[in-house]
Amino acid sequence: MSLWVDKHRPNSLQKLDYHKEQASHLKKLVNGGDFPHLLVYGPSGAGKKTRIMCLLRELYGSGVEKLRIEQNTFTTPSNKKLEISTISSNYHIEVNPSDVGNNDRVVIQELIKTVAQVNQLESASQKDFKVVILTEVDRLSKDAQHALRRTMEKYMATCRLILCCNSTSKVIPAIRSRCLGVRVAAPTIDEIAQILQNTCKKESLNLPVDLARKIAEKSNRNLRRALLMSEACRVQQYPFSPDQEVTEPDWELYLKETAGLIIQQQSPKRLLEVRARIYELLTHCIPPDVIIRGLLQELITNCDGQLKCEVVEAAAYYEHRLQLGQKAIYHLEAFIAKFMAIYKRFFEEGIADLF
Amino acid sequence: MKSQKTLVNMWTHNGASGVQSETIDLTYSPPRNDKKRRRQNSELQSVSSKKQAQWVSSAFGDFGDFADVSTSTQGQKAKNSSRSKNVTSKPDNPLQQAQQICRGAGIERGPPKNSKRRPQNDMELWSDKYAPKSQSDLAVHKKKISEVESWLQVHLTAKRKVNIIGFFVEYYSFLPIALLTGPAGVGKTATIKVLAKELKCDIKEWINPIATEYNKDFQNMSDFSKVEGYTSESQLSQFQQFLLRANKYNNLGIFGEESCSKKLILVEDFPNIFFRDASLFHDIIRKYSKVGSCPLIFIVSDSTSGESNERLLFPKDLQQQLHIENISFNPVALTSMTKVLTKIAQVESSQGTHKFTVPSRNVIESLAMSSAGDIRGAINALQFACLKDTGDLTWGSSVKENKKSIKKSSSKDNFKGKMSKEKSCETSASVESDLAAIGGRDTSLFLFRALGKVLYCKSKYWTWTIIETTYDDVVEKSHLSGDYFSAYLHQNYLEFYSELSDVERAADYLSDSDNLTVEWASRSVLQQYAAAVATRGLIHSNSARARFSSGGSGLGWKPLHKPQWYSVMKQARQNCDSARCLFKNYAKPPEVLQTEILPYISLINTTLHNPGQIAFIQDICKFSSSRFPGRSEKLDEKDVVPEDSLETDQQQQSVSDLKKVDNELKSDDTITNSQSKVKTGAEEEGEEEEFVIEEFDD
Repeated sequence: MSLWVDKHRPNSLQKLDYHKEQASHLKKLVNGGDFPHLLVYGPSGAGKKTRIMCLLRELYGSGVEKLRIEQNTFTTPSNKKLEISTISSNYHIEVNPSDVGNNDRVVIQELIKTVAQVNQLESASQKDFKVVILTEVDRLSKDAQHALRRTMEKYMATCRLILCCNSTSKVIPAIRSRCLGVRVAAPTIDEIAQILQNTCKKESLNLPVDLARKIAEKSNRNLRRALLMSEACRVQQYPFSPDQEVTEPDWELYLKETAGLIIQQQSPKRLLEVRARIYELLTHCIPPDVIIRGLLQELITNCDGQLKCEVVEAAAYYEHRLQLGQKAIYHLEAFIAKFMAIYKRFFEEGIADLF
Repeated sequence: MKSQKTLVNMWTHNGASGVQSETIDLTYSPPRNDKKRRRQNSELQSVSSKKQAQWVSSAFGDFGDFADVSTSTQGQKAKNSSRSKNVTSKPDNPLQQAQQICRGAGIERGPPKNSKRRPQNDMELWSDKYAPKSQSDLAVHKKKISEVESWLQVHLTAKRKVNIIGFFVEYYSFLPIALLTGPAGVGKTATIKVLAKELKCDIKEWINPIATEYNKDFQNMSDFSKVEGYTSESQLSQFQQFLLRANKYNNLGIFGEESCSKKLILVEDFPNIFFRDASLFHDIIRKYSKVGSCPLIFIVSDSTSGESNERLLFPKDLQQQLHIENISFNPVALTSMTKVLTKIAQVESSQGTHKFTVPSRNVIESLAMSSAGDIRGAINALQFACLKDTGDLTWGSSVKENKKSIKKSSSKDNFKGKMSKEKSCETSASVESDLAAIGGRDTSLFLFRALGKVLYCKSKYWTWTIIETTYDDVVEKSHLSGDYFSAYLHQNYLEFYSELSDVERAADYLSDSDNLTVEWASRSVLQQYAAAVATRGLIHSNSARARFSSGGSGLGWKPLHKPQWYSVMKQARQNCDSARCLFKNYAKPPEVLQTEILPYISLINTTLHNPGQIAFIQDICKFSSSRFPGRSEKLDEKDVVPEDSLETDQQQQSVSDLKKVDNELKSDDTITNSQSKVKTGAEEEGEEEEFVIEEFDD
């Protein structure tokens, strides 16, 4: 049994539920014959990948749906073996180069070269190019991005790139200008609620409107999350009741609990305990930037207007450092210490004002 | 270099011809020439250090030197040891004598039996000449000796027998294996040798064979395997063979010694391959533990730098699995060391070939202290100090002059934690160089102490300048990269803070220090600065400590921990990788996979077909139910920090706790000492006595 997210994924441009105008543009693009490189960007869970797959299907027909997962090996100039898994069909190959960390440049160059060197069979009946999908382009090293620039031009004849990322701010302008940007905005809450209900109908379940809205609101306009949440709700309780609790993943609860601990008491001892909990989160593969964002969201709800500004500023400051630096825990801890200090000072002043 | 080599020859070579001319070399130089003398010193030191390097269980793979020495001393021996049968059959076997001389970490030994062969000359190292003969001669602490002795007794007498019918006479479910650890030159080998002699059992010792050379050209490479005598065996297989044979066969008794039934196998000189791939070693030991019957003893010396061999070769899980008994030796106590040194000096001055006056007690004491518990080093230093042409070296007088300060600083430097040069900064520099001149040990800080130095520091305005100068030194001497050192500080600093505003500042400094090393290109340079920012930031932002300092009492003892960051990151990486491998078919970017898909999969109860997936999901989505997950492994006093030191020392915990309490006493002691005035001699005595007691938990 696959997840609803995968099971009910629309597979053609016509079937897409929202941004229909964009879908029709994409269709025109395919039919126009001159297909450029694409840079698809938008928040997580907005349906970028879905849209790309629909586009591919439009390009090549149902052949692109025969996917195979392969393990490719590349060798760096320093003779280091890199293993990376790719998903490919006869017409396209998808890879997440950031899986290999710093050596992403090698992967990109080698992969595109091998794909581009093989021409499409029967080019008369089909498009004469293949497609390489690179995901998480915003996590590519600068090195790799510059390498990509040259490769894109060189193999234009036989291959097109579809780059996929959350934000273009980390993509170098040279690449941005070589691609047609396609922004996939997050669906609105109404759209999500509608989609949830449709999906449930397909599963022959009855999802109350209120619950669908509730889930949609909780999902942060992330459709994938919304679908996962509703499926979790289904497991938790069926038939649905409109006022039922929306299930959240354990790590989020844990993070919220941690934020609660910070609010509860501000002392070095508590900081030490919080640190242990953050380590726990990190070992469970929760990225540090997600942690700091989650913490901020929870902490800010307990702050007054004037405090909010200060806290957010601190969070932004340390989040930036965290992205740059090597030891995320230093910055996470510095942020928490800072918050504790701000919060405590605020309270002490408040009490002083009272008397 | 050449002269150095001849010196090496000279020292190991026992009275062969041609030595005399080189001896003159030494005494030849004009005694007033300071520069030259300094060079001599260094030459001598390099000789002794070379010898030490040989003794310290070949961790350095310094094969060339070893080969040089042994081939030049006794070709016969070289030949012998190049075979796999380099088994020390008996201590007084003439062939093995030389080997023993090379490695006796001894204290006292009478003239050798066949001394008529060797003209009495003082080219022999005193540490060999006076290697201990009996238990009473050993300078090792009594309890330690009895610990080793009882282990030997139990395991030598008890035979490991499995009776086929089912009657177990004496049955040990595991093979006795002991691991002796401790700093170099504290008498680990000597203890074993003496005890084995007293218990009348053979020691079969493994000594790394010298690689056989191919003097045949490789034309007949095709029938290479047929060429007799030139088949080479890897050290690995030789080692394996050795264990097997030593276990199986008794002495032939060719040399007329009575063969005894009891024997034990001693391995101090590990084949080099094991340092590259310790798993090979583990395999051999596991194999041996199944078939072997004869007790196996390993000796590993502690080292302050690089990877600890003990951790590498004997990880905790192996120790537990094979029931390896770990006996760790402490540095030799000051009092017993002084006793031994005095005794040697007296004997030597009355019987030795050249006359000298017995050095004063102060000199001997300072020698003992500067050696940091390394009795072999101390004896060698004594020998050098008593050479007739070095008698007028300046160190003697300076030692007398600065007797007090030497006592203080050196006892601090070497025994109590090598802490705080705050007090006598200007004198300690000169003192240090003096001590170095008479063979003092390199004063490197154990990490434990380095951390304590920063975390327990009371930043006082009047020591400001001293802090400025010393703290880079601390990082440097801890043998860690600044990055790693700051990780240690980060792990531990919170417990030393009581004010939140201080913590805020400290955390900010740590964040700064990490931020300094952002650029990869300049990281190596900036790392030092980053460490400096971290250390100083932590010291200066702790306002509470500063207040405490005026009161004189610090906060209580806090155990130090190893940084969790690295293990956490390692774990996270592993989890990420396995998530990626196991859930390949979801084909999602890792962040999405880990924060959305997997948690929900666990909630949704999707039927997973792969047991690995199921286990992983359960593992990754479970958060520890306790509100505050546990803390990391504690830091041992002697710990040297390898990058991969992630094994836990559960059983050592209690021991190390004890040690830590000791250390706390010591470190507190030192801090207060540094503030107080110089104590009188009597007090000093008392304090040192106290030390001995602390050191050995009497």
